[in-house]
Amino acid sequence: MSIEIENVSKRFGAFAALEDVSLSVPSGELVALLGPSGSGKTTLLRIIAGLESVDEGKVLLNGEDASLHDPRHRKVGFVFQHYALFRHMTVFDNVAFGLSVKPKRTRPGKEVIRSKVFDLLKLIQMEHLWDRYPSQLSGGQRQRVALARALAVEPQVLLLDEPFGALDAKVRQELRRWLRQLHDEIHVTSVFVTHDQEEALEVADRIVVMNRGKVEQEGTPSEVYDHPANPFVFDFLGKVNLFHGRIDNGVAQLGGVRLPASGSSSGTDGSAVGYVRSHDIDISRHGSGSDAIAAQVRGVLRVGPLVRVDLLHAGGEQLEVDLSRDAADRLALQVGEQVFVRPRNVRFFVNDYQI
Amino acid sequence: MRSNDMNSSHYPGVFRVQKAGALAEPLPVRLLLVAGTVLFLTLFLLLPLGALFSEALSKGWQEYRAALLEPDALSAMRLTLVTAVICVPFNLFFGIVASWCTAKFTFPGKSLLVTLIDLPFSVSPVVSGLVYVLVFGQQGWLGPWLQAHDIKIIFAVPGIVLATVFVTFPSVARELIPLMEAQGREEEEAALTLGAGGLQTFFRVTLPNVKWGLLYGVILCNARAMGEFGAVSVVSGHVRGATNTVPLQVEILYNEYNFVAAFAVASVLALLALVSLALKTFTEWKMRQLQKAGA
Ligand SMILES: Nc1ncnc2c1ncn2[C@@H]1O[C@H](COP(=O)(O)OP(=O)(O)OP(=O)(O)O)[C@@H](O)[C@H]1O
Ligand SMILES: [Mg+2]
Repeated sequence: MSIEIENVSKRFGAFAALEDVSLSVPSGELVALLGPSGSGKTTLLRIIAGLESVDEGKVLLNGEDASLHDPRHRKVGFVFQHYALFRHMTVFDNVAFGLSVKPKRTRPGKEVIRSKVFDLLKLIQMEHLWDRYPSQLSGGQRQRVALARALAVEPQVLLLDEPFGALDAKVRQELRRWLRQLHDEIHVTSVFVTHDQEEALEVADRIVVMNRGKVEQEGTPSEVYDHPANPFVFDFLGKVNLFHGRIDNGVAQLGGVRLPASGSSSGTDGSAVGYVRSHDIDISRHGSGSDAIAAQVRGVLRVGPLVRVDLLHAGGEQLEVDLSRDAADRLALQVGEQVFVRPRNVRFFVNDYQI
Repeated sequence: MRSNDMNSSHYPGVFRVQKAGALAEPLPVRLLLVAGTVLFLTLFLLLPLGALFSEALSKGWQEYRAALLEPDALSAMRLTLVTAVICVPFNLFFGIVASWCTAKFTFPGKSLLVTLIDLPFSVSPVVSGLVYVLVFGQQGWLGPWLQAHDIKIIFAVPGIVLATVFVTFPSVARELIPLMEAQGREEEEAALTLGAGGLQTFFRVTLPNVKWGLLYGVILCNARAMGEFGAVSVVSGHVRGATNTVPLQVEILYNEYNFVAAFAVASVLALLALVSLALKTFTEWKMRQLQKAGA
């Protein structure tokens, strides 16, 4: 089932939680809603599920106006940020709930429900815990029960609100792979909320970046990562370094280095800011003021597989550069020494944006 | 059970206090505090209770039995039971409805409603009784109309029931509202997205989640309904064998210097109180267990 969101706005009192949001999710895709806290991700998800009304605009499910359907008939499975398991029911009863509340005509028999629930419990690898209460489960187990409960009614859309939010990094990684696999098996249109860009980049078919109730960019993971539409998206999807400079006749001046400003977001000349990812900067001991920027090493830190180098360049700004261990070992940088940095991949934005 | 922090963060509003290990007072202080409490309880609670039963039984079992089986006493017990049997289900129903509305939905005037629910507990029961006389009494607003239709409320059983319903009204709602508010709306929303209707959600999700709190409210409501004196006294008219509840009967007997009978009938109320206390303790214990389990 496809989801179409057309010019939706939502206010809580005077506060605009969503402003003119439009979005389309083709049937069978796994889409990540990515954005900082308070950007309206949960609100958007709740609107799709029908748990929240819209002030303006509309939501189409399979091309049909969703407001014509009661939330209970939308066939939308919702996995809540805090699981919202029924605390007085066992794992089995939680998963069986959606089937057992069906009207008599369409309700499957007890045995059918039983086997279906156990199939799902097998899927989430929890058959042996079927008679536990939610309070007797770990966070990751609760999470999986919440997912199984939502899947039991065979929803046409699956909405997951920070499904891995409360889990530690390792379990998170396992579950996100598992979610991807599950999605590849059952192909239900899914939207999941996260504020972890790595998670979104790894799992999703498409990413929707939100900020302050607006959609900043929508696209495949490589589109949003490699071609961020604006400084916010650039900043949100990974570490960046800023170089302040000027653009004149299509050529950028950054601290003495001249670069073709092809990546400029607008053709106008004037002061500009170059955005460079921390892994898109080369460091060397040799260079001149015209093809590289002089900088001083302030710190060298080993972080897992990478080495993070803190620098202060001639323009007086901080830089953070990630090197592979190999490259760092070859350079053997010393704190305090003078080096030259060359940005490889620069994106220019003319209007300085502020967070 | 499992770790504290997980439980309390998962279920907002349910917090547990750590066992006071480091906070323990020195032994003499503790002994003094415990001794003081025990002394106080003995003096003010156990002693009167003992006095009550010893006075009731001072002329032996025969007299005690006779006092309880006396027609007026029996009629008073019957009336008290009838009142409770009408009042408790009524308040149970409206208590649930009122707390469901206020805890799970937002609407204008909600805080006013919550305040109103508490009203009967904040005015003196005598005043509540008087208000009923003012409304339903012969000289009251509805008096002439009621008289014309030959309906008797004041100085009759309906008045007693009405007054009791009024003074006990908050007992269920007051228990449920904080509990339901603490539990939030997410489980109901989950039920909704899973296709459950309003009533299904209520009976299968909301109600089971508050059942112990509900039982607690019912016990309190029942205890108050059976023991209510002030409001009932005003509207009853004290017709022996007809409009006297147990507490009123006790007062009458006492005023007639019939101490053995007065205390015998009073002992019924005291026993009732003890049973309520036991049930209340049990439900409190059960609720704590559930909180501990984070459920
Ligand atoms: N019921 C409500 N009443 C008033 N304001 C609300 C309500 N629900 C959400 N908001 C506000 O709307 C904004 C967006 O909230 P939302 O829950 O959608 O954020 P989010 O992107 O999910 O954030 P997080 O990542 O922290 O979960 C927030 O500023 C929040 O304070
Ligand atoms: Mg959220």
